[in-house]
Amino acid sequence: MTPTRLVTLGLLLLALPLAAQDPVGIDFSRPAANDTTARVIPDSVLDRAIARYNAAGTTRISGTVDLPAGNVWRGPQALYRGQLRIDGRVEGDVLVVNGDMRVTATGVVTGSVTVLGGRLLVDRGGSVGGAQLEYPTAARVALTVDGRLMRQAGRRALSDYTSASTTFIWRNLRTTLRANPGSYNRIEGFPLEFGPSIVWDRDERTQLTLDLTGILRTASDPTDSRATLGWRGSLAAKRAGAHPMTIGLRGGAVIAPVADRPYQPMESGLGAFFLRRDFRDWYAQRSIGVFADVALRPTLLASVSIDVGRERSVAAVDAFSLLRSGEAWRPNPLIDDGKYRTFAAGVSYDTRDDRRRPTSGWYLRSDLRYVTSGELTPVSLPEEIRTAMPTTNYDALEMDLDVRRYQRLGPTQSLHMRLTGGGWLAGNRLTIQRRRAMNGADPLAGYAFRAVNCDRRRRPDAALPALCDRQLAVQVEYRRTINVDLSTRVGSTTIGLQRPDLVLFGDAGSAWLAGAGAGRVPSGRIQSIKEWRSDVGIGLDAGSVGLYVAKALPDNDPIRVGIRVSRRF
Amino acid sequence: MRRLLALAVLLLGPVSAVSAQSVRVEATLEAATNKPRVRLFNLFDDPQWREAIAASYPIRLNFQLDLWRARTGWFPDNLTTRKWAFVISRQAVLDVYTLTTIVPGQEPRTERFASLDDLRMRVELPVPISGVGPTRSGAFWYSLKLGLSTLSTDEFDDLQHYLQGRGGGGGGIASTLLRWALPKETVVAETPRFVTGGKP
Repeated sequence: MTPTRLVTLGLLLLALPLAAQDPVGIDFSRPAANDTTARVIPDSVLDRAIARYNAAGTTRISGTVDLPAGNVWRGPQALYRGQLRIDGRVEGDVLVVNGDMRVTATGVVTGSVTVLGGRLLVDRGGSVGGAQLEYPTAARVALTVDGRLMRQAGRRALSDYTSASTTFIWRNLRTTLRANPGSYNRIEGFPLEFGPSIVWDRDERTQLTLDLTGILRTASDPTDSRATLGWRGSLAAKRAGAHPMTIGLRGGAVIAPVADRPYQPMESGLGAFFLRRDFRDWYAQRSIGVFADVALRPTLLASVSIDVGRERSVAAVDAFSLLRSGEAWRPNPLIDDGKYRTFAAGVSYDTRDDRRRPTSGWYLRSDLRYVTSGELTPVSLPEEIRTAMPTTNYDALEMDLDVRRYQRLGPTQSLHMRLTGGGWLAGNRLTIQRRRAMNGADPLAGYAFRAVNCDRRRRPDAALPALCDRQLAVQVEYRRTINVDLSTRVGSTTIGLQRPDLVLFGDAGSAWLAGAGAGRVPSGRIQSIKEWRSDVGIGLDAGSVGLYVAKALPDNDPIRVGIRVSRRF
Repeated sequence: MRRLLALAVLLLGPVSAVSAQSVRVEATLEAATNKPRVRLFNLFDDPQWREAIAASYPIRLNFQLDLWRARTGWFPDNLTTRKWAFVISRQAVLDVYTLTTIVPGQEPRTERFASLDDLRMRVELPVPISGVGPTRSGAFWYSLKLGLSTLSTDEFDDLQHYLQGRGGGGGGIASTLLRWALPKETVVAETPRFVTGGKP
């Protein structure tokens, strides 16, 4: 590189930051940008630029280029990746893609100048005869082997690291073929999910998405209670704007979890794969439906859906597990088979500062579901658990509620509170797949799995089904970040404890049968606090993994130790 | 119980002292105005970040500055929280380094540097932070948290969402491993206390 070019490059690189009003400071009192969408290069602009670059009459250049004073270029010029300095005269249009351009005091461009993925600097005295268009955001383009410019597939998503995928782009259609593992469980083993996802950017605000996923279940099922293959699909239209909205169709033949779902999905999968402990129950679901959601505010999301489907029982199979492979899996409980229509509405309000590790803000999620059926085959349960169920004209109303408050008490300490619950509201009694239990570990760390499941039979079901109508729990935890770094690096991996959180927590909750009669709580009330289960505990949360020790109060349950790979809430 | 403790020890790993070349952040106050200034040290002396940049991984520096008001006999009051981010990357083809400053609600600002030394000079400059000061009287201080990662929290969340939204507990295993494997670090600092409007 010649000294002149070095100076030019230096000027281009350094002049821009220096030209900024305040190159170093951060000023939060500055007004917000009026048009944040201006950062993105519109597809139409990018398409025109690609066409101009590839046009036969365009002179294509790259790298650091200087047109000295007194020299003239004629015709359209296009530079890809580099810096262009114009001291001389260009008689035509100039296009710069993923580079910077400077027109100096002696420079003249008679046509337009378009700079995508870089900066345009026109010195005083410099002249641009046509329009000046500048988009600092990098243009997603690449050169083909014959030197033509083409759109580049999007940056590899992180999920690509845990799955295999390939993307094709044709005009505004982006097609991704993907294969990835689903959630490990005792019904399917590892469900391998694969299929195409097609995204059509109709315009700058509207996007159509078609997702089709095939599901291959790795565990064989000698009982034929479910097929080896399943599928899931959706067709959705998303509209950006002040109130982003999504409407769509969805359907599938999947193995779905029942309403009682302790732990995060990944924890349930880990428990099943490593420890032969599947903390969820499952049923086969074939369904089709419509859904819509709208963001009323950035923090407020409302959703509605209608689904029609058939639900039926499936059996646990002899799926592989790393440990305890000699033990039998917990049986998968029977459900109330039938055809169901589900009308659902939900709202969520989320002002948390961080979705994964929040320390301040509110989170509220509430869902209301109205379920009807004209054809169901209920499992026979004793009257003390569930009154007789109809086989036609069934309807029930249920809801879920999750309210959380994260309150900072100082730079390194915070108080987190949660009220969570759900269950039957009105109508016929809930089907088995929509019933609840009070679970140990999550939310009550001091108790065993399904500590309260309302199974009052003399010989309770070994499958431990959740049979309660309602469930409610309160959780409180105090977190304090300990300023210690007990870690070491192995390559790029950090192992150990970096500023872990000390967690002191207490939980209380219960699940019960609602309605009139002995052993039931009247429908308009919650269970007496005296009958709630409670625990206290202490934990150390290292971010990716947390170790918790809890003791039930006042029960004589043993002290329980648990490892979580996500936050308790 | 013993097995669990052994597993915990295995997960928590060996212990070592913090390297003298670790990233450090400093929060100070301007003498006359009590405006906070933030300064970063040793980013490019730390092998894990230097290697990440050399390998053209973008590094995200997520800053969080909190203004606290001291309250006698009670927990301090968190008056404001401001976040911004630096994204440092190397454009291998051009062999230039870029520093993008992202402030919520404002246009991102990108600066380019011809060498790592130029970038270091810029990144290690004290950064004055405006528009965050107290508007009432009392005793205050700022706390600063800097999270460094090669990936943003949102990217992790997107991955989680992708894997879990399709019933992906198994995928969660991979995402957890991924989270463990990639470089990340958090450093903190606090300014001295200052008083505005007379006695608090």
